Amino acid sequence: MRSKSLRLALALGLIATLAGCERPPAAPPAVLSGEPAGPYDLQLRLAPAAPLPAQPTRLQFQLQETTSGRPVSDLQIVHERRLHTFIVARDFSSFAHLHQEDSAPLSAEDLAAGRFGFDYSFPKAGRYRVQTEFTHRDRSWLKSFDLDVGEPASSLPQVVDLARSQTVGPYTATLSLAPAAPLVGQEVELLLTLARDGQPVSNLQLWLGSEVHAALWRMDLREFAHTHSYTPEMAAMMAQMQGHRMSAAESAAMMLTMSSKPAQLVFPGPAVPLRFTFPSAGMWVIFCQLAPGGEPVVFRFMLDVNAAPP
Amino acid sequence: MSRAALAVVLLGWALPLWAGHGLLNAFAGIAWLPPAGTTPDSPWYAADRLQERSALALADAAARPDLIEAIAREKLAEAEAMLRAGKLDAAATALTHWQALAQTRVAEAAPAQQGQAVNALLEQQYIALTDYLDLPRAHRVPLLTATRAVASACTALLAQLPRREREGLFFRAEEVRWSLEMAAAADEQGL
Repeated sequence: MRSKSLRLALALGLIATLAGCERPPAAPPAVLSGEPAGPYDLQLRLAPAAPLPAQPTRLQFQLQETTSGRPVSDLQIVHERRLHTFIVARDFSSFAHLHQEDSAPLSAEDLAAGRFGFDYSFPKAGRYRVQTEFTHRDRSWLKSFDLDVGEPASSLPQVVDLARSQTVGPYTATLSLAPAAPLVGQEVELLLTLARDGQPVSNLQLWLGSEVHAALWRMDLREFAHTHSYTPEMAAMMAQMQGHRMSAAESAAMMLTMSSKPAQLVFPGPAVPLRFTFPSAGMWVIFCQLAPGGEPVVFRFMLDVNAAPP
Repeated sequence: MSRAALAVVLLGWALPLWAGHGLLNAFAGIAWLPPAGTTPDSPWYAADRLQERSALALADAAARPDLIEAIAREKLAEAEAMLRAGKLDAAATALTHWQALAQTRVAEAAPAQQGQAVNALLEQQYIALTDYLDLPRAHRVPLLTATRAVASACTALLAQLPRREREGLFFRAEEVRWSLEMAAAADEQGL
Protein backbone atom coordinates (compact mmCIF):
# COMPACT_ATOMS: atom_id res chain seq x y z
CA MET A 1 0.00 0.00 0.00
CA ARG A 2 2.79 2.40 0.93
CA SER A 3 4.68 1.62 -2.29
CA LYS A 4 1.50 2.21 -4.33
CA SER A 5 0.96 5.54 -2.63
CA LEU A 6 4.57 6.43 -3.20
CA ARG A 7 4.36 5.56 -6.90
CA LEU A 8 1.17 7.58 -7.21
CA ALA A 9 2.76 10.53 -5.48
CA LEU A 10 5.80 10.34 -7.74
CA ALA A 11 3.61 10.13 -10.83
CA LEU A 12 1.56 13.12 -9.75
CA GLY A 13 4.70 15.04 -8.96
CA LEU A 14 6.13 14.29 -12.41
CA ILE A 15 2.93 15.38 -14.10
CA ALA A 16 2.91 18.62 -12.13
CA THR A 17 6.53 19.27 -13.04
CA LEU A 18 5.95 18.69 -16.72
CA ALA A 19 2.86 20.87 -16.71
CA GLY A 20 4.87 23.67 -15.20
CA CYS A 21 7.59 23.50 -17.84
CA GLU A 22 7.53 26.12 -20.59
CA ARG A 23 6.74 24.68 -23.97
CA PRO A 24 9.38 25.43 -26.57
CA PRO A 25 8.30 28.05 -29.12
CA ALA A 26 6.85 26.69 -32.33
CA ALA A 27 9.48 26.29 -35.01
CA PRO A 28 9.18 28.70 -37.93
CA PRO A 29 7.70 27.17 -41.09
CA ALA A 30 10.24 25.58 -43.40
CA VAL A 31 8.64 27.14 -46.48
CA LEU A 32 6.65 30.34 -46.76
CA SER A 33 4.05 30.77 -49.52
CA GLY A 34 3.65 34.13 -51.17
CA GLU A 35 0.34 35.95 -50.87
CA PRO A 36 -2.07 36.38 -52.54
CA ALA A 37 -2.75 33.00 -54.07
CA GLY A 38 -3.33 32.85 -57.81
CA PRO A 39 -2.07 31.25 -61.00
CA TYR A 40 1.51 31.37 -59.68
CA ASP A 41 2.93 29.88 -56.50
CA LEU A 42 6.04 31.56 -55.15
CA GLN A 43 7.68 29.86 -52.21
CA LEU A 44 10.41 31.22 -49.97
CA ARG A 45 12.89 29.23 -47.94
CA LEU A 46 15.05 30.97 -45.39
CA ALA A 47 18.40 29.73 -44.17
CA PRO A 48 18.54 29.82 -41.26
CA ALA A 49 14.81 29.17 -41.00
CA ALA A 50 14.70 31.56 -38.03
CA PRO A 51 16.75 34.56 -39.19
CA LEU A 52 18.73 36.56 -36.70
CA PRO A 53 19.40 40.29 -36.89
CA ALA A 54 22.67 41.42 -38.46
CA GLN A 55 23.38 37.86 -39.59
CA PRO A 56 23.38 36.80 -43.26
CA THR A 57 20.19 35.01 -44.23
CA ARG A 58 19.75 33.15 -47.49
CA LEU A 59 16.44 33.92 -49.19
CA GLN A 60 15.67 31.23 -51.75
CA PHE A 61 12.61 31.65 -53.97
CA GLN A 62 10.96 29.00 -56.11
CA LEU A 63 8.31 29.96 -58.65
CA GLN A 64 5.90 27.51 -60.20
CA GLU A 65 2.53 27.41 -61.90
CA THR A 66 -0.12 26.69 -59.30
CA THR A 67 -2.23 24.31 -61.37
CA SER A 68 0.49 22.21 -62.97
CA GLY A 69 3.29 22.58 -60.42
CA ARG A 70 5.70 23.25 -63.29
CA PRO A 71 8.51 25.66 -62.56
CA VAL A 72 8.21 28.99 -64.32
CA SER A 73 11.34 29.15 -66.41
CA ASP A 74 10.64 32.14 -68.63
CA LEU A 75 10.10 35.22 -66.49
CA GLN A 76 10.46 38.40 -68.52
CA ILE A 77 13.20 40.89 -67.80
CA VAL A 78 11.83 44.07 -66.29
CA HIS A 79 14.19 46.92 -65.54
CA GLU A 80 17.11 44.58 -66.12
CA ARG A 81 15.99 41.94 -63.61
CA ARG A 82 13.58 38.99 -63.58
CA LEU A 83 12.47 38.95 -59.93
CA HIS A 84 12.40 42.14 -57.91
CA THR A 85 12.38 41.89 -54.13
CA PHE A 86 11.70 44.74 -51.74
CA ILE A 87 12.33 44.12 -48.06
CA VAL A 88 10.93 46.60 -45.57
CA ALA A 89 10.86 46.57 -41.80
CA ARG A 90 7.34 46.71 -40.46
CA ASP A 91 8.06 50.08 -38.90
CA PHE A 92 9.58 51.26 -42.22
CA SER A 93 12.94 51.92 -40.56
CA SER A 94 14.81 49.91 -43.21
CA PHE A 95 14.41 49.20 -46.91
CA ALA A 96 16.22 47.05 -49.44
CA HIS A 97 15.65 46.45 -53.17
CA LEU A 98 17.39 43.20 -54.12
CA HIS A 99 17.78 40.70 -56.94
CA GLN A 100 19.90 37.59 -57.41
CA GLU A 101 21.62 39.18 -60.39
CA ASP A 102 23.03 41.93 -58.15
CA SER A 103 25.52 39.46 -56.70
CA ALA A 104 25.52 36.42 -58.96
CA PRO A 105 24.26 35.66 -62.47
CA LEU A 106 21.27 33.43 -62.96
CA SER A 107 22.45 30.08 -64.19
CA ALA A 108 20.58 28.08 -66.80
CA GLU A 109 19.67 25.65 -64.03
CA ASP A 110 18.29 28.48 -61.88
CA LEU A 111 16.13 29.72 -64.73
CA ALA A 112 14.88 26.28 -65.68
CA ALA A 113 13.94 25.60 -62.07
CA GLY A 114 12.31 29.00 -61.50
CA ARG A 115 14.79 29.50 -58.70
CA PHE A 116 16.11 32.81 -57.42
CA GLY A 117 18.15 33.52 -54.32
CA PHE A 118 20.38 35.99 -52.54
CA ASP A 119 21.72 36.78 -49.10
CA TYR A 120 20.46 39.56 -46.91
CA SER A 121 21.20 40.66 -43.36
CA PHE A 122 18.09 41.94 -41.65
CA PRO A 123 19.37 44.97 -39.74
CA LYS A 124 17.47 44.48 -36.48
CA ALA A 125 15.00 42.20 -34.74
CA GLY A 126 11.42 42.72 -35.76
CA ARG A 127 8.76 41.99 -38.31
CA TYR A 128 9.53 42.35 -42.02
CA ARG A 129 7.55 42.37 -45.25
CA VAL A 130 9.25 40.75 -48.23
CA GLN A 131 7.55 41.99 -51.39
CA THR A 132 8.29 40.45 -54.77
CA GLU A 133 7.30 41.41 -58.28
CA PHE A 134 7.74 39.48 -61.50
CA THR A 135 6.39 39.55 -65.03
CA HIS A 136 5.32 36.52 -67.01
CA ARG A 137 3.45 36.37 -70.31
CA ASP A 138 3.11 40.14 -70.34
CA ARG A 139 1.41 40.42 -66.97
CA SER A 140 2.99 41.51 -63.71
CA TRP A 141 2.37 39.80 -60.40
CA LEU A 142 3.00 40.63 -56.77
CA LYS A 143 3.65 38.13 -54.00
CA SER A 144 4.45 39.04 -50.42
CA PHE A 145 5.74 37.28 -47.32
CA ASP A 146 5.75 38.31 -43.67
CA LEU A 147 8.45 37.04 -41.38
CA ASP A 148 9.98 37.62 -37.97
CA VAL A 149 13.65 38.20 -37.37
CA GLY A 150 15.02 37.44 -33.91
CA GLU A 151 12.66 38.16 -31.09
CA PRO A 152 10.32 40.88 -32.31
CA ALA A 153 9.69 43.46 -29.65
CA SER A 154 6.13 44.24 -28.74
CA SER A 155 4.73 46.47 -31.43
CA LEU A 156 5.95 50.03 -31.34
CA PRO A 157 3.96 52.92 -32.76
CA GLN A 158 5.07 53.80 -36.24
CA VAL A 159 6.73 57.16 -36.43
CA VAL A 160 5.05 59.43 -38.96
CA ASP A 161 7.35 61.90 -40.67
CA LEU A 162 5.62 64.09 -43.22
CA ALA A 163 8.66 66.23 -43.97
CA ARG A 164 9.05 66.78 -47.68
CA SER A 165 12.83 67.02 -47.44
CA GLN A 166 14.92 64.08 -46.35
CA THR A 167 18.68 63.91 -45.91
CA VAL A 168 20.88 60.84 -46.32
CA GLY A 169 24.59 61.46 -45.95
CA PRO A 170 25.52 64.47 -48.08
CA TYR A 171 22.32 64.24 -50.13
CA THR A 172 19.00 65.96 -49.57
CA ALA A 173 15.95 64.96 -51.56
CA THR A 174 12.90 67.19 -51.68
CA LEU A 175 9.55 65.84 -52.78
CA SER A 176 6.95 68.18 -54.21
CA LEU A 177 3.48 67.15 -55.29
CA ALA A 178 0.87 68.47 -57.68
CA PRO A 179 -1.77 68.65 -56.37
CA ALA A 180 -0.06 69.39 -53.07
CA ALA A 181 -2.63 67.37 -51.15
CA PRO A 182 -3.01 64.04 -52.97
CA LEU A 183 -6.46 62.55 -53.22
CA VAL A 184 -7.50 58.98 -53.89
CA GLY A 185 -8.05 58.19 -57.55
CA GLN A 186 -6.39 61.36 -58.84
CA GLU A 187 -3.12 61.19 -60.70
CA VAL A 188 -0.39 62.97 -58.74
CA GLU A 189 2.72 64.49 -60.22
CA LEU A 190 5.61 63.82 -57.87
CA LEU A 191 8.82 65.74 -58.41
CA LEU A 192 11.95 64.61 -56.64
CA THR A 193 14.76 67.17 -56.47
CA LEU A 194 18.20 66.13 -55.31
CA ALA A 195 21.01 68.19 -53.86
CA ARG A 196 24.42 67.37 -52.47
CA ASP A 197 25.79 69.58 -49.76
CA GLY A 198 23.23 72.17 -50.79
CA GLN A 199 24.16 72.11 -54.48
CA PRO A 200 21.84 70.71 -57.17
CA VAL A 201 22.85 67.25 -58.34
CA SER A 202 23.35 66.83 -62.08
CA ASN A 203 25.07 63.45 -62.27
CA LEU A 204 22.18 61.07 -61.77
CA GLN A 205 22.78 57.82 -63.56
CA LEU A 206 20.43 55.10 -64.64
CA TRP A 207 20.17 52.33 -62.14
CA LEU A 208 18.34 49.25 -63.32
CA GLY A 209 17.07 51.18 -66.29
CA SER A 210 15.58 54.20 -64.55
CA GLU A 211 16.62 57.42 -62.87
CA VAL A 212 14.41 56.61 -59.90
CA HIS A 213 12.73 53.53 -58.48
CA ALA A 214 9.87 54.21 -56.11
CA ALA A 215 8.36 51.55 -53.86
CA LEU A 216 5.12 52.67 -52.24
CA TRP A 217 3.24 51.02 -49.38
CA ARG A 218 0.17 52.03 -47.54
CA MET A 219 1.24 52.01 -43.94
CA ASP A 220 -0.88 48.96 -43.06
CA LEU A 221 0.91 47.11 -45.90
CA ARG A 222 -2.36 46.27 -47.61
CA GLU A 223 -1.37 48.18 -50.74
CA PHE A 224 1.89 48.17 -52.69
CA ALA A 225 3.08 49.71 -55.91
CA HIS A 226 6.35 50.13 -57.75
CA THR A 227 6.96 52.93 -60.23
CA HIS A 228 9.72 54.85 -62.00
CA SER A 229 10.56 58.11 -63.68
CA TYR A 230 7.90 59.57 -65.94
CA THR A 231 9.61 60.34 -69.24
CA PRO A 232 8.29 62.50 -72.11
CA GLU A 233 8.02 59.37 -74.21
CA MET A 234 5.84 57.79 -71.55
CA ALA A 235 3.71 60.93 -71.38
CA ALA A 236 3.15 60.90 -75.13
CA MET A 237 2.18 57.26 -75.06
CA MET A 238 -0.24 57.79 -72.18
CA ALA A 239 -1.87 60.66 -74.05
CA GLN A 240 -2.43 58.40 -77.04
CA MET A 241 -3.85 55.65 -74.85
CA GLN A 242 -6.15 57.95 -72.96
CA GLY A 243 -7.38 59.44 -76.21
CA HIS A 244 -8.47 55.96 -77.21
CA ARG A 245 -6.76 56.36 -80.52
CA MET A 246 -5.66 52.75 -80.55
CA SER A 247 -6.88 49.35 -79.54
CA ALA A 248 -5.87 47.90 -76.20
CA ALA A 249 -3.54 45.45 -77.94
CA GLU A 250 -1.88 48.37 -79.75
CA SER A 251 -1.46 50.14 -76.40
CA ALA A 252 0.17 47.11 -74.84
CA ALA A 253 2.34 46.61 -77.92
CA MET A 254 3.47 50.23 -77.77
CA MET A 255 4.45 49.81 -74.11
CA LEU A 256 6.40 46.69 -74.92
CA THR A 257 8.11 48.24 -77.94
CA MET A 258 9.13 51.29 -75.95
CA SER A 259 10.42 49.09 -73.17
CA SER A 260 12.50 46.97 -75.48
CA LYS A 261 14.80 49.85 -76.36
CA PRO A 262 17.86 50.28 -74.13
CA ALA A 263 17.07 52.74 -71.35
CA GLN A 264 18.37 56.23 -71.96
CA LEU A 265 19.11 58.80 -69.30
CA VAL A 266 16.50 61.54 -69.54
CA PHE A 267 16.79 63.18 -66.13
CA PRO A 268 20.41 63.71 -65.01
CA GLY A 269 19.13 65.88 -62.19
CA PRO A 270 18.46 67.67 -60.09
CA ALA A 271 14.74 66.97 -60.72
CA VAL A 272 13.09 63.68 -61.62
CA PRO A 273 9.32 63.44 -62.18
CA LEU A 274 7.09 60.50 -61.33
CA ARG A 275 3.36 59.93 -61.70
CA PHE A 276 1.16 57.90 -59.46
CA THR A 277 -2.51 57.46 -58.64
CA PHE A 278 -3.09 56.51 -55.04
CA PRO A 279 -5.76 53.79 -55.02
CA SER A 280 -6.88 54.29 -51.44
CA ALA A 281 -6.79 56.76 -48.59
CA GLY A 282 -4.41 56.54 -45.67
CA MET A 283 -0.81 57.13 -44.73
CA TRP A 284 1.54 56.04 -47.49
CA VAL A 285 5.26 55.41 -47.26
CA ILE A 286 7.40 55.99 -50.36
CA PHE A 287 10.97 54.79 -50.72
CA CYS A 288 12.74 56.54 -53.60
CA GLN A 289 15.98 55.09 -54.88
CA LEU A 290 18.26 57.23 -57.05
CA ALA A 291 21.87 56.81 -58.12
CA PRO A 292 23.82 60.07 -58.11
CA GLY A 293 27.20 59.28 -59.58
CA GLY A 294 26.04 55.69 -59.97
CA GLU A 295 25.72 54.95 -56.22
CA PRO A 296 22.15 54.16 -55.11
CA VAL A 297 20.73 56.22 -52.27
CA VAL A 298 17.32 55.68 -50.68
CA PHE A 299 15.04 58.39 -49.34
CA ARG A 300 11.87 57.75 -47.36
CA PHE A 301 8.83 59.99 -47.51
CA MET A 302 5.38 59.70 -45.97
CA LEU A 303 2.21 61.10 -47.43
CA ASP A 304 -1.27 61.41 -46.03
CA VAL A 305 -3.70 60.64 -48.84
CA ASN A 306 -7.31 61.62 -48.37
CA ALA A 307 -10.43 60.33 -49.99
CA ALA A 308 -11.72 62.52 -52.78
CA PRO A 309 -14.78 64.56 -51.88
CA PRO A 310 -18.00 63.12 -53.37
CA MET B 1 3.25 27.44 -73.97
CA SER B 2 0.13 28.45 -75.94
CA ARG B 3 0.01 31.79 -74.17
CA ALA B 4 3.64 32.45 -74.94
CA ALA B 5 2.99 31.71 -78.60
CA LEU B 6 0.02 34.04 -78.52
CA ALA B 7 2.16 36.80 -77.07
CA VAL B 8 4.68 36.35 -79.87
CA VAL B 9 1.97 36.42 -82.51
CA LEU B 10 0.09 39.38 -81.13
CA LEU B 11 2.66 41.60 -79.60
CA GLY B 12 6.03 40.76 -81.13
CA TRP B 13 7.21 39.79 -77.71
CA ALA B 14 10.04 42.01 -76.57
CA LEU B 15 12.07 41.50 -73.48
CA PRO B 16 12.16 44.40 -71.07
CA LEU B 17 8.95 45.69 -69.58
CA TRP B 18 7.89 48.28 -67.13
CA ALA B 19 6.62 47.49 -63.73
CA GLY B 20 4.37 49.98 -62.02
CA HIS B 21 3.31 51.94 -65.06
CA GLY B 22 -0.31 50.92 -65.24
CA LEU B 23 -1.13 48.70 -68.15
CA LEU B 24 0.04 45.12 -67.76
CA ASN B 25 0.21 45.31 -63.97
CA ALA B 26 -2.99 47.05 -62.91
CA PHE B 27 -4.13 43.84 -61.20
CA ALA B 28 -0.74 42.65 -59.99
CA GLY B 29 -1.69 42.05 -56.36
CA ILE B 30 -5.38 41.15 -56.41
CA ALA B 31 -6.82 38.25 -54.48
CA TRP B 32 -7.59 35.34 -56.76
CA LEU B 33 -10.62 33.07 -56.79
CA PRO B 34 -11.66 31.03 -53.75
CA PRO B 35 -11.90 27.23 -54.00
CA ALA B 36 -14.86 26.12 -56.11
CA GLY B 37 -16.46 24.34 -53.16
CA THR B 38 -19.78 22.69 -53.97
CA THR B 39 -20.10 22.67 -57.75
CA PRO B 40 -23.22 22.45 -59.93
CA ASP B 41 -22.60 18.78 -60.65
CA SER B 42 -22.93 17.96 -56.97
CA PRO B 43 -26.21 16.65 -55.48
CA TRP B 44 -25.71 19.22 -52.70
CA TYR B 45 -25.59 22.18 -55.05
CA ALA B 46 -29.26 23.06 -54.61
CA ALA B 47 -28.75 23.23 -50.85
CA ASP B 48 -25.67 25.35 -51.35
CA ARG B 49 -27.60 27.74 -53.56
CA LEU B 50 -30.38 27.92 -51.01
CA GLN B 51 -27.87 28.90 -48.35
CA GLU B 52 -26.46 31.62 -50.64
CA ARG B 53 -29.88 33.03 -51.44
CA SER B 54 -30.81 33.04 -47.77
CA ALA B 55 -27.61 34.85 -46.87
CA LEU B 56 -28.29 37.46 -49.55
CA ALA B 57 -31.88 37.92 -48.40
CA LEU B 58 -30.79 38.42 -44.81
CA ALA B 59 -27.82 40.67 -45.53
CA ASP B 60 -28.24 44.31 -44.66
CA ALA B 61 -27.57 47.04 -47.21
CA ALA B 62 -24.05 47.64 -45.97
CA ALA B 63 -23.01 43.99 -46.15
CA ARG B 64 -24.81 43.07 -49.35
CA PRO B 65 -22.31 44.37 -51.95
CA ASP B 66 -19.39 42.45 -50.45
CA LEU B 67 -21.50 39.32 -50.14
CA ILE B 68 -22.61 39.56 -53.78
CA GLU B 69 -18.99 39.92 -54.85
CA ALA B 70 -17.86 36.98 -52.72
CA ILE B 71 -20.56 34.72 -54.13
CA ALA B 72 -19.85 35.93 -57.67
CA ARG B 73 -16.20 34.95 -57.30
CA GLU B 74 -17.26 31.57 -56.05
CA LYS B 75 -19.53 31.11 -59.09
CA LEU B 76 -16.65 31.97 -61.35
CA ALA B 77 -14.48 29.41 -59.57
CA GLU B 78 -17.24 26.83 -59.98
CA ALA B 79 -17.52 27.61 -63.69
CA GLU B 80 -13.78 27.25 -64.25
CA ALA B 81 -13.72 23.95 -62.37
CA MET B 82 -16.59 22.61 -64.46
CA LEU B 83 -15.02 23.79 -67.72
CA ARG B 84 -11.78 22.06 -66.77
CA ALA B 85 -13.74 18.89 -66.08
CA GLY B 86 -15.61 19.16 -69.37
CA LYS B 87 -18.98 19.40 -67.62
CA LEU B 88 -20.48 22.05 -69.84
CA ASP B 89 -24.03 22.00 -68.52
CA ALA B 90 -22.77 22.46 -64.98
CA ALA B 91 -20.44 25.22 -66.18
CA ALA B 92 -23.36 26.94 -67.88
CA THR B 93 -25.27 26.90 -64.60
CA ALA B 94 -22.43 28.54 -62.73
CA LEU B 95 -21.88 31.10 -65.50
CA THR B 96 -25.56 32.01 -65.50
CA HIS B 97 -25.39 32.67 -61.77
CA TRP B 98 -22.20 34.70 -62.19
CA GLN B 99 -23.75 36.93 -64.83
CA ALA B 100 -26.91 37.36 -62.77
CA LEU B 101 -24.87 38.44 -59.75
CA ALA B 102 -22.97 40.94 -61.90
CA GLN B 103 -26.25 42.42 -63.10
CA THR B 104 -27.53 42.57 -59.54
CA ARG B 105 -24.39 44.30 -58.36
CA VAL B 106 -24.72 46.89 -61.10
CA ALA B 107 -28.42 47.43 -60.55
CA GLU B 108 -28.13 47.82 -56.79
CA ALA B 109 -25.04 50.02 -56.70
CA ALA B 110 -25.79 53.34 -55.07
CA PRO B 111 -23.91 56.27 -56.64
CA ALA B 112 -21.30 56.21 -53.87
CA GLN B 113 -20.70 52.51 -54.48
CA GLN B 114 -20.58 52.46 -58.25
CA GLY B 115 -16.81 52.78 -58.38
CA GLN B 116 -16.38 49.82 -56.07
CA ALA B 117 -18.85 47.81 -58.16
CA VAL B 118 -16.97 48.58 -61.37
CA ASN B 119 -13.68 47.72 -59.71
CA ALA B 120 -15.01 44.37 -58.49
CA LEU B 121 -16.38 43.47 -61.91
CA LEU B 122 -13.12 44.45 -63.58
CA GLU B 123 -11.23 42.16 -61.22
CA GLN B 124 -13.57 39.27 -61.93
CA GLN B 125 -13.23 39.78 -65.69
CA TYR B 126 -9.46 39.98 -65.40
CA ILE B 127 -9.32 36.71 -63.46
CA ALA B 128 -11.64 34.99 -65.93
CA LEU B 129 -9.62 36.16 -68.92
CA THR B 130 -6.27 35.33 -67.33
CA ASP B 131 -7.41 31.80 -66.58
CA TYR B 132 -9.17 31.53 -69.94
CA LEU B 133 -6.08 30.68 -71.98
CA ASP B 134 -5.22 27.81 -69.67
CA LEU B 135 -8.66 26.20 -69.92
CA PRO B 136 -9.27 23.36 -72.37
CA ARG B 137 -9.79 24.94 -75.80
CA ALA B 138 -12.75 22.72 -76.58
CA HIS B 139 -14.71 23.84 -73.53
CA ARG B 140 -13.79 27.40 -72.68
CA VAL B 141 -15.82 29.57 -75.11
CA PRO B 142 -18.84 29.88 -72.78
CA LEU B 143 -16.58 31.65 -70.29
CA LEU B 144 -15.62 34.27 -72.89
CA THR B 145 -19.27 34.76 -73.81
CA ALA B 146 -20.22 35.24 -70.18
CA THR B 147 -17.26 37.56 -69.57
CA ARG B 148 -18.34 39.72 -72.50
CA ALA B 149 -21.79 40.03 -70.96
CA VAL B 150 -20.30 41.05 -67.62
CA ALA B 151 -17.99 43.47 -69.45
CA SER B 152 -20.95 45.07 -71.13
CA ALA B 153 -22.71 45.72 -67.82
CA CYS B 154 -19.46 46.95 -66.31
CA THR B 155 -18.75 49.34 -69.19
CA ALA B 156 -22.21 50.83 -68.92
CA LEU B 157 -21.70 51.51 -65.22
CA LEU B 158 -18.17 52.81 -65.77
CA ALA B 159 -19.56 55.41 -68.16
CA GLN B 160 -21.77 56.75 -65.39
CA LEU B 161 -18.94 57.38 -62.97
CA PRO B 162 -17.69 60.90 -62.34
CA ARG B 163 -14.75 61.69 -64.61
CA ARG B 164 -12.19 61.58 -61.81
CA GLU B 165 -13.32 58.16 -60.66
CA ARG B 166 -13.48 56.88 -64.23
CA GLU B 167 -9.93 58.02 -64.92
CA GLY B 168 -8.73 56.31 -61.76
CA LEU B 169 -9.91 53.00 -63.24
CA PHE B 170 -8.46 53.69 -66.66
CA PHE B 171 -5.58 51.22 -66.54
CA ARG B 172 -7.70 48.45 -65.09
CA ALA B 173 -10.32 48.94 -67.77
CA GLU B 174 -7.65 48.98 -70.46
CA GLU B 175 -6.04 45.83 -69.16
CA VAL B 176 -9.38 44.04 -69.22
CA ARG B 177 -10.05 45.35 -72.72
CA TRP B 178 -6.62 44.02 -73.78
CA SER B 179 -7.28 40.69 -72.11
CA LEU B 180 -10.59 40.34 -73.97
CA GLU B 181 -8.82 40.98 -77.25
CA MET B 182 -6.16 38.42 -76.39
CA ALA B 183 -8.72 35.80 -75.47
CA ALA B 184 -10.71 36.32 -78.68
CA ALA B 185 -7.56 36.26 -80.76
CA ALA B 186 -6.47 33.03 -79.08
CA ASP B 187 -9.72 31.38 -80.11
CA GLU B 188 -9.37 32.66 -83.67
CA GLN B 189 -5.81 31.41 -83.87
CA GLY B 190 -6.63 28.06 -82.28
CA LEU B 191 -4.18 28.70 -79.45
